[in-house]
Amino acid sequence: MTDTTPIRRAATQPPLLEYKHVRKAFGAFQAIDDISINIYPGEVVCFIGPSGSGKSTLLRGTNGLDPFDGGEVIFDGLVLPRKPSDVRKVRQRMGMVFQNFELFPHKTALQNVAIGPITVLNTDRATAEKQAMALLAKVGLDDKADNYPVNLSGGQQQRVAIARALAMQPEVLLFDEPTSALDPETIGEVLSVMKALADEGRTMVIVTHEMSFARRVADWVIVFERGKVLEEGPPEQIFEAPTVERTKEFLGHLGWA
Amino acid sequence: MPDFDLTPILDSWQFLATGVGVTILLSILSMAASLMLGTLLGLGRVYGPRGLQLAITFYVDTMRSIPVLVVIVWIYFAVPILSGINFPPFWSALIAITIHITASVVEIVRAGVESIREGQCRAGLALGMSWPQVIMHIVLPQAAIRMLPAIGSVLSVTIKDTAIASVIAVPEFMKRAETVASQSYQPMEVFTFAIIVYFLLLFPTTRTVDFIYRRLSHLGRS
Repeated sequence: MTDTTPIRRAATQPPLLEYKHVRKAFGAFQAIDDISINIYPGEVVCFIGPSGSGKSTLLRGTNGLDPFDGGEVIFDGLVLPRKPSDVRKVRQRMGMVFQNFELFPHKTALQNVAIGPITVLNTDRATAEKQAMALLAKVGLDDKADNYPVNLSGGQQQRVAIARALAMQPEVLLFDEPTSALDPETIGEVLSVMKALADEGRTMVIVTHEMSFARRVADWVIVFERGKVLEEGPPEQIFEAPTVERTKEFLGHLGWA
Repeated sequence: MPDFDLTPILDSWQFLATGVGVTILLSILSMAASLMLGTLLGLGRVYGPRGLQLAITFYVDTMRSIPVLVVIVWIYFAVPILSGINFPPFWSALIAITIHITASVVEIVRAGVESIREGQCRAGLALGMSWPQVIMHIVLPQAAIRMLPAIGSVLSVTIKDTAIASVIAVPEFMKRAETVASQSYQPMEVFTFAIIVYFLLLFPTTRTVDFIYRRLSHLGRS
């Protein structure tokens, strides 16, 4: 075993997102146990690990929707505030994509994408809808603009949800197991939209069980177990030559030898 | 089988028709006021501070335990003695029916709002919306659709409850029908006619609400 530190190309700039000694417990269960990690601008970082390892809890704490019990999140040099009106300002700069899509069922695909700018940024409706249309085209769904979510497949709903997050022009995109609720045949269309976003150089944090996607797209992979970081490194290291025995075991269970 | 003599109804059709007008006006006003108040209080019941929640719960439980007839009579006869404020019969009935029906609306709004999945609020908050914006744009529109069947049945209760206003001489349809029946000594014809009129008023109303719900229900599913 060598002790050469893996090269993290993006680390030449200051981190966009820093987690410092964050902790969170659910009752007696320590979901996140003193985690400190960095996300750098333009990076695609995948959080992987077994269920209950804390990766989703960490992601959900990032925009303060499920605040941590202790430690702090620093976004673009600013500590994530606790006060609701202040945390909202920061939240606008982070896009979030949920496992269950959470599209608004009473709004069309177009309205779902336009509602953020209209309500939060006071963009006028015509401008917001024009932008929304361009974003729907970007995720390949401009022909479904007038459809309600109930008339879209899971994969289509998740692509609209990605467009909805993009509408706020976020500086980081947070994906919480974006393909876990999808039929296998629609997973690919969502992953290719995400790949295209990664290729644009967007900063993305992705909690995922799609190991081949993480291997292909991630710049940095962080492996979690029992609320702690087990190992982090570039995908070649994590998937080809993990230095930690537990990482090998976890990937072995998923069919990665 | 006695003869069915329509003369008293035909002779006083204008008198009865204005009664139907008063019934409809009283129904619309008390329903509109109950919907507005009930929505506000329902939101207060779910999102308000603990003290407000308890106060609203107490109000709802109280109104559930008191017949609307007693509320009408109390507002018309007791409130003037207690406060010195005299409400005319129509206003007394409007206030009484409203505070009674509002209690039902509060519970419907509460159930509707609480039925919206938490993830929907999170999605709104994640975009940077404030809680009031989440409630206005995300929660209430979906809850309103889910509430429609229950609101429809409260609407029919409201229309029927207006007949009770006849006890304080509000010139609505039931009061007018009683007058015509007693003056003509033909209660069988007049009250049978009253049944038909109420049915014709209510049946299309409940059918319409049901129709609207079936057209919109898919938009409330998340």
